[in-house]
Amino acid sequence: MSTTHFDKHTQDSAAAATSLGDGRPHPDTRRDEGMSAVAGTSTWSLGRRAFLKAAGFSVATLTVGCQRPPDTEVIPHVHLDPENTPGVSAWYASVCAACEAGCGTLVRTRDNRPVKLEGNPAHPVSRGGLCAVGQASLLGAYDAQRLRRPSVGGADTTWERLDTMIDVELAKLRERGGVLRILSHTVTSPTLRARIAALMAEHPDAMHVEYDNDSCSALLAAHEQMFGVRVIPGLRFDRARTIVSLNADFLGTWISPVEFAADWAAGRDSDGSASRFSWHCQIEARMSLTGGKADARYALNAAQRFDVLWHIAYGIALRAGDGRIHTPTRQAPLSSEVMERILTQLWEGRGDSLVLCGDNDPDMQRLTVAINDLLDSYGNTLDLARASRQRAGNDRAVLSLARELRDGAVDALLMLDCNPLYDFPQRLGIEHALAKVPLSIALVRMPNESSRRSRVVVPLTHALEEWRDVESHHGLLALAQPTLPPEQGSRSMLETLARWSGSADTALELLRARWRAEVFPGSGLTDFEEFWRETVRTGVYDARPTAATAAMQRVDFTTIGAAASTRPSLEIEVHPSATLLDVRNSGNAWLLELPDPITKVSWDNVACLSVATASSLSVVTGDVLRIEVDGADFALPALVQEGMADNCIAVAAGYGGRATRRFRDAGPSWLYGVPSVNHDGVVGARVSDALLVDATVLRASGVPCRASATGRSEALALAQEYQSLHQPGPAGDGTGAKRPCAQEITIAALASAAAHGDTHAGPHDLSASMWPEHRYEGYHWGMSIDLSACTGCNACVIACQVENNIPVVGKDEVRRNRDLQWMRVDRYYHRDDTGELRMIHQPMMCQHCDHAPCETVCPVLATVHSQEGLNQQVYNRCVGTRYCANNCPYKVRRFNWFDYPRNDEENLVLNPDVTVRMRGVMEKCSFCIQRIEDARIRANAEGRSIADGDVLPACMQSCPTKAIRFGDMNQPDSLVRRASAGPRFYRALEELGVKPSVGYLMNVRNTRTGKTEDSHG
Amino acid sequence: MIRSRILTIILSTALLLALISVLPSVFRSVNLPGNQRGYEPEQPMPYSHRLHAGELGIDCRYCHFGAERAGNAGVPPMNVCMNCHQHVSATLVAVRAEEKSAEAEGRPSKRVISPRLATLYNALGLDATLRPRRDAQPEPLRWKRVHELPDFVFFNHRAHVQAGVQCQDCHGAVQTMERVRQVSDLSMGWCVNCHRDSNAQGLRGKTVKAPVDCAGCHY
Repeated sequence: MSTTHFDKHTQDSAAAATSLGDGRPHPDTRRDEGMSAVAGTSTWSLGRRAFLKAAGFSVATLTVGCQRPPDTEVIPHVHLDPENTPGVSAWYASVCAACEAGCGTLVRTRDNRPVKLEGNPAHPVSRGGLCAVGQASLLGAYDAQRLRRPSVGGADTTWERLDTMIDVELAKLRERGGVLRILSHTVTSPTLRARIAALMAEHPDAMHVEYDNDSCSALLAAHEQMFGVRVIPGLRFDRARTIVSLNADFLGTWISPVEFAADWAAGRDSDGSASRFSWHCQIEARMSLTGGKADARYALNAAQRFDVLWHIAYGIALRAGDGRIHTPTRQAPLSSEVMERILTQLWEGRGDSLVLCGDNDPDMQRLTVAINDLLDSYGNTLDLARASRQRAGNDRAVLSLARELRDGAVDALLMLDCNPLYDFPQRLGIEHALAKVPLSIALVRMPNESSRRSRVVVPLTHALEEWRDVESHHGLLALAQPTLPPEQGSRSMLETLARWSGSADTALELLRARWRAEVFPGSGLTDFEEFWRETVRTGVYDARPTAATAAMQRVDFTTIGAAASTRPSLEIEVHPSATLLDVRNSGNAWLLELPDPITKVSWDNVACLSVATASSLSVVTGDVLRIEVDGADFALPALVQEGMADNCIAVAAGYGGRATRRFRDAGPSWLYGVPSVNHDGVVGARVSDALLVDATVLRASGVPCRASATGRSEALALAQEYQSLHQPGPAGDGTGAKRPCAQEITIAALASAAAHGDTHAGPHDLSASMWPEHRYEGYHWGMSIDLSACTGCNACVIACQVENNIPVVGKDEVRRNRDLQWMRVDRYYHRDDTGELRMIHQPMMCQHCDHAPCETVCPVLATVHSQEGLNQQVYNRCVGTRYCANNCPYKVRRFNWFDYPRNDEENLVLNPDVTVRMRGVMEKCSFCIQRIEDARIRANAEGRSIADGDVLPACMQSCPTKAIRFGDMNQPDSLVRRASAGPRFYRALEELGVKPSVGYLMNVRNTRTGKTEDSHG
Repeated sequence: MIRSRILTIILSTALLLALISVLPSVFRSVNLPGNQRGYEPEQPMPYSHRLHAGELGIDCRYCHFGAERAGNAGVPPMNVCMNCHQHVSATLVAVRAEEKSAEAEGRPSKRVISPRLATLYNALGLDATLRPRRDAQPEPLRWKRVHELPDFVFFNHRAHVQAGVQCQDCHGAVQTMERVRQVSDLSMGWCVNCHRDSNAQGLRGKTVKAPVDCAGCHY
């Protein structure tokens, strides 16, 4: 019946078209005929009308004929896996391996594949939070470019042949007493360390050299000199009342940022008394996340920092009556009031003070130890008993290894998941020397610079595919269990090293044997199986000692400062990228697209300059600079950055590696598509050559350099192009009134507001509205974000990207402002009342407005309000007019301009609970509705209503400082409701009257002035 | 002339009435694109829901246990079949016949395997004595999916089973079907009507709160 109907319709319209064509020949038709006549291919030619007729008929036929899409198959398991019901998530405790911090994680698996990494709340380092890099490391497990078989001399081989060959080679080496060197990053796994020791035991001359990309060699050396142990003390930011940090970006990248950020936030109780709020002073050359959060920040070059530290040490020593510190030979670069303030704060609060130095400079680190000792920090804010094992790199050993390599003295070099050819400056000569090593072995997951120059390349498993243990702090052990079967043809590092040192045990057997012998006896339990099962389940075994027992050796500091370097006219500082950390993560598209939290540049690293330095080099943002350091040079686009010290260039390391070559075709392919790599074929530039080879360390700051404009210019992919919170003033110079979207309050003002019981009332009368009020009878979802706790670390952005299947769009699309991340962290600069430069981060996502401007303009009702206060985006209804995005005052709606390519492996990382959107559809933050629905179903099954804390949106869950709170606004005692009652609460752009469901808590600065300055907590 | 015109009017009125009476049933029987009601694909083995769920009265959730725990009800793993079929490999009649003839021939009776179940055993890689064969790997059966929703809809079995919705409410009387057929059209209107009705009248005497927001299912 319907077939007839469609046929008739088609014939009618076809007939109409024919008669029209017959009656009034169209010029087009004639031209078509003419063309076919010229071509002379045949007497029967398919004219335009005939083609349309045929096409129309075919479409009609297809529509009627193909009612049923192709059959889909359901393929059940052969055997029931009791741990995994299809469609139900299972969680496994593990340990993050993206850096050496060793955050405990929980791996969410669906149908036996990991789909999300979250911090393990039971683990003392992560406490539920996890940084962006750690969360994004999930993608590496599904990387299509992973190595799948070992190779020798470029030819693939089997594991059996490889093991035999290595056995023979190592035996030969042993016989003739050859030199074996093992190079790795810091090894935090005690069992792996034991295996390395076992391997070295067979070779009397063997040596294990560890290094860190963000080296703390000088810090370790200073403690070795003063305390006889080469450790980094446990840092207690939660106890510290005064924090003075010199270039230590502990909220961003330094050593263990997730742990430090949580502690730092715990030491700043914004809603309690001011006495429980630390005072944080940051002295640094570049703008860092830590500097942006500091209560006082001073931009100083490396040599100036040295002088400040020296003056602090001298001042504290004077107060302590200790004569071991020389009188500084130079003036302090800070005013005497500032110096006095720092000294007073530190000295008055001694015991609760903490001085940190992130410069890899032996003298500065020794001064820091001296200051902390004089301030009684050891045993209070610095915990030697719970010393950190997250850094063990020794630059001195690296330099001597490089010397040996250059001399051709190394017979076998084993590189354990590291990339020395990228990480170390070329002037160390490792690249040429590596060719001289008879047996060079690289254990890697993906091919890199070093593995390409190695004779033997051995594929490694991903961290999610192996049994592993990690001791991040002395006595704090964590266990990682595999959540994926190993990639075909790869083997874990532990098993490989065990096999080469004469043990055929699996990683699990090795771990269990070591734990049974060394860890279990201290547990006080009687049944090892029970102990093991419980540790695997929780993922952590905490046997940290409680009492610190370390006696400091009396060391003479009088030599310090004698050889202080002169100040270069232009210096360069290399810091770990806040989005990549180091080159190991540079093959990760999520992280490359993630905008740097400060520069807001994605898909690039840049040379950050102050306004004055940029004008002296006559460059503006985007101009490519050629930077020359000790004979080596590289080119980077310049970026004029607020808060930079003059005569300093700051560059992020981790970019420009070979692993980024694959991103040529990242993003959609279309006519105007531009590759995401630069003209060198890589993303960003390698800047390791800017490291200065010193006598005992590789210096990353204060390195003399020369820079010149190349005359070229590049369009940067900037995720945020506006900088200042100030409105343009009368002179158009950005000195006008502050926009109230990101707000800040001093601790004194907050205390007085709290005393008067003030709640925030904006200057606008919002009682009048054109729209009827919504009535929420059940739940009313709302969110509050504490800007005081937010460090701008981007963890939430990646959490959202992973949870909600957000594709990577590529550099060119970001440049066109077509980035798709549902969350962004806005970064603003402003000047406070005293004229100090302040940076403030504001996470911004869909505000789920009650009177949502997007809802009123959608012509197809694809975005509508729910009964629980959510602004819903219905993908299957959306026709892509983009009216909603235009009408959104927060600019949080994202449009799918294309179908973004994903390869088959990457499809496996998709969250099965969230739709994968197609081209032409609008999308935005949903408050993780899939998690709300999951909590609702679980609560219903238990016959209760959803409790506070049942729904953890991905952003909230991942936040290391717990800045984001989500819950039911109708519930009087919910966290989010209580947060909205205080004097710090406000809503962004509330003057528009759109009534957002997201609120913000003002950032609090501890800028004590006048009398309050004297009060110490 | 007039008479023929009257005849025309009468005839066309009759035709119109006939069409009006027929049309609704035509619309009911003809599916719009995307509506798969009546879909009844042939499966890789002739599993009978009528026999298992109807005649033997096995609870739906014995095999489709996911309905209580997960979003998907799922097709049972094949070792669930073997819970019974390691004992029951043929009809009682066939087993008795074999026993009888074995007794007559004075030999121990062999295991009888019905040709239908042979498909299952072969897939599991089992031999005639139901022991794993050395030369065969278990290969799951590839069933045809009958009920399928678009990817932008998240239907959760667990939520519906918890609320007291019976399997038959959506899937029809599966216990009477030899081969499973899609009975409901599974359209959004059909879902929302049930949600609204349940909210208004309750479900089997219980008050329920079925979501009628878009984001109840689309996210």
